[in-house]
Amino acid sequence: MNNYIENKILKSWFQPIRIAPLISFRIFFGLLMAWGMIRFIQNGWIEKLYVEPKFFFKYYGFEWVPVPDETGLYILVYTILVSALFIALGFFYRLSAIIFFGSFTWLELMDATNYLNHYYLVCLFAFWLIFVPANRAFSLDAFIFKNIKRSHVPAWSIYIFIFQMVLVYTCAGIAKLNYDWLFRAMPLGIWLPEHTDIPVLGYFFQFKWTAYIFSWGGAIYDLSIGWLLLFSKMRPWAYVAVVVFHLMTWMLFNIGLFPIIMIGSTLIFFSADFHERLLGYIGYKSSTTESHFSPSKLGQQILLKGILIYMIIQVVLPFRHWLYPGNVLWTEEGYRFSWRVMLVEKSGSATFHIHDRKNNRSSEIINGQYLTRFQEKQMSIQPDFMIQFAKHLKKTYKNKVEKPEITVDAHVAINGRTSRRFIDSTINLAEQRDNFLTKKWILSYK
Amino acid sequence: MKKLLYVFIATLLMSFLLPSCRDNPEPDPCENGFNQEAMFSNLVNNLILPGYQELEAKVNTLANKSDAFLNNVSQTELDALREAWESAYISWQKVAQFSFGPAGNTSLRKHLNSFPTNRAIIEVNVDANIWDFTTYARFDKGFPALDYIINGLDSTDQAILNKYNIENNNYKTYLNEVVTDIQSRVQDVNAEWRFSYNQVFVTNTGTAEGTALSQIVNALSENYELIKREKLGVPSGVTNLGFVYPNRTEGYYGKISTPLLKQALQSAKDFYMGLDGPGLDDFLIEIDAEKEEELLAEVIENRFDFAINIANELEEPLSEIISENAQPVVRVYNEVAANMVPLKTDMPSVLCVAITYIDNPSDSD
Repeated sequence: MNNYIENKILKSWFQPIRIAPLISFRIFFGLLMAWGMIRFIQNGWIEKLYVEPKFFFKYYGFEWVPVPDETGLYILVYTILVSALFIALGFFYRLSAIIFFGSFTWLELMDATNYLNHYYLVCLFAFWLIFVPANRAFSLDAFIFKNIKRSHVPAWSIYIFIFQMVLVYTCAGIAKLNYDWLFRAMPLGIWLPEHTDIPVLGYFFQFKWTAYIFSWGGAIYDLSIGWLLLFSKMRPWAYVAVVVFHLMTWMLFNIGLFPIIMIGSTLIFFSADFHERLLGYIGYKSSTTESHFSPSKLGQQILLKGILIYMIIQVVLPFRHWLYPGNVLWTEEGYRFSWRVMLVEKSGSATFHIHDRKNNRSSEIINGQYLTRFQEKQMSIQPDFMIQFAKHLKKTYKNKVEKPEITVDAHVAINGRTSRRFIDSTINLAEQRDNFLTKKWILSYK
Repeated sequence: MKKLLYVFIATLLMSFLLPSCRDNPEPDPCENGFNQEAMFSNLVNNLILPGYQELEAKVNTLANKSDAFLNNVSQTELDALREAWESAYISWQKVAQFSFGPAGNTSLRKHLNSFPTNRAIIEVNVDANIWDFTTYARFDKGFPALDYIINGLDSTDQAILNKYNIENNNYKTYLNEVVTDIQSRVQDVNAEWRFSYNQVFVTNTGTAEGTALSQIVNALSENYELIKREKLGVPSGVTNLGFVYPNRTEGYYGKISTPLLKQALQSAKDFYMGLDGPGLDDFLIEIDAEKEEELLAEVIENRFDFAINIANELEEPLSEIISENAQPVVRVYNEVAANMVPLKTDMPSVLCVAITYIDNPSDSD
């Protein structure tokens, strides 16, 4: 029985399908990322995000990731840019994909302050681009090394991206099913009135019911769009919805590449016929002879297991917050890597104190001496950052205070409410360890 | 494909069953009929314009007294100059918080009141007879620099007068240029407010970044934070393990830190209340904003009053109090600090405006 299922999956996942959707995806992804990096440089983000800060917040387990100096950072970002272009061109494709994945992920791991769901999505896409045979047609590689050219690829290499897109949308939709989003139209009730200056549409943003329509519409869109795109009859309509929805978010919110990533990536749901026509405009000709390749049976089995493990992790990870007490929007435990996109309006204030119990002295910390304003803003709502900052303060003060105790007065306001105390102000943060256990010193929302 | 549809429907159903965070029904913060323009025009006509008008008048007097002193270096003229300086410095406290619009664009606060002043650099400037007042980065200009060169050059008034009399003319030139710099900056900002910006400001309604509401909410809390840190926290050692710095108080040489502090606190409250007219307090009342079962508007007003009352108990210059025992100043600090969360976190949240002085250098999602 087990074998039967496995064979069935193997058969469907390794059946040959036409390569065109993957080619479009490769070209689109490479060009978009190259443009993203040019934008990154032009906006001065290398300086603002990585040169100016004196201290960096890290992801758990990645504390060792170094931040290069300014020259190094430019080399890194240009490496990402060039490897992205090479991906688009299909030039030394696999090597370029590896370099892109490595360098882009490095950039993201340097400071967790800058976590964005769509950068995480880029990392995941880049990871799979290493393994899929996206250079087997319409690429410089296939032009130079004619023998690698194929008209068909194993189906999984397209399915994996479709899986990812459906997952992202569905999780983003599920995350919206919370009281504030549905029954207070928050945070859209805050965000939309900020855009009353937009022609025509802006007029409606002054009304609360517009925020309700957008909230419910957004939730229904996210929950359903990934699935609707799977059905060929629905697909053209669903894609219109994709374009309209993301253009709207692009107009309203400062979310950078995200709308374009989604508008481009969802094309992968379309048929090979569609992509062959699309690519035809830039000179693509589908090959007249069918050719495909398939890994050995053993290779297939290994790959299949890898993909399954990946899928399980991806499906489970966004719901890990159920293992923690309290509301994830408040505690932030299990918040990242879960496709909670534009979900909450939060602001906080965190005032740290360092105590020298032996000499009975204490000091209030001026956060701005150690953090950029953006880092401070992020830190004041994220408990794991507070631990890292406390440990950094302990180190900074090691010559002045022996065994310092570091406490925080932290208050957080959510979705247009007044603030509540966020952290137990008696706890010595310098002695707390960051791990995957729940942080008992995060106060419950009252 | 049918199977996928079932999966989709099952996901949908399941997700509605998820426990959601439910609160009691609460007032909606962003939707309201509050008349923003009435509030802005009250603030402009009764605080901002009169404030700059008064400051300009005081600064003009200061310039006159400075000229008189330079023409006739004497104890009488020095006393008159000091009086004009103190009076202008106090007027400055009333408008320092309006750090948006013309004052924001020209960094008026930093040019006029970066303290503690750097006496070493001032001495170097005077020696070399070279300085650059286009930058505020050297802490060698504005009211604090005046403080040093009219009050702090030496330990006795006679010795100070001697510096202006006997030695080269550089101190005279420096004094003149510091005053002229203050005067021209204040005149520019005042003129812009009077002749063009007031209309722009009053009609700039809404909650987005850059609107008048967002500017006043941000300016009020930013200024209050500066009062907390610069006037109180740093000198009294709160931010430095209790090691005190009396000489980092505002108006240190002229010993006027206490009246400056009192004026700044009172002006912050006036700004919040809009004096007797419509102000942020009325806005908060209009939307029924509550904090821990009290009206947020009252929480903030009460905390302003606590800080003002405790500060009013102070008589001596802050530097002298701190040198003896910092505790009375720390008490004021604590009262000011107690209003930071309501001003900086609660008020922007319920008024649905973003804290813009924490700029966002990146995309968000």
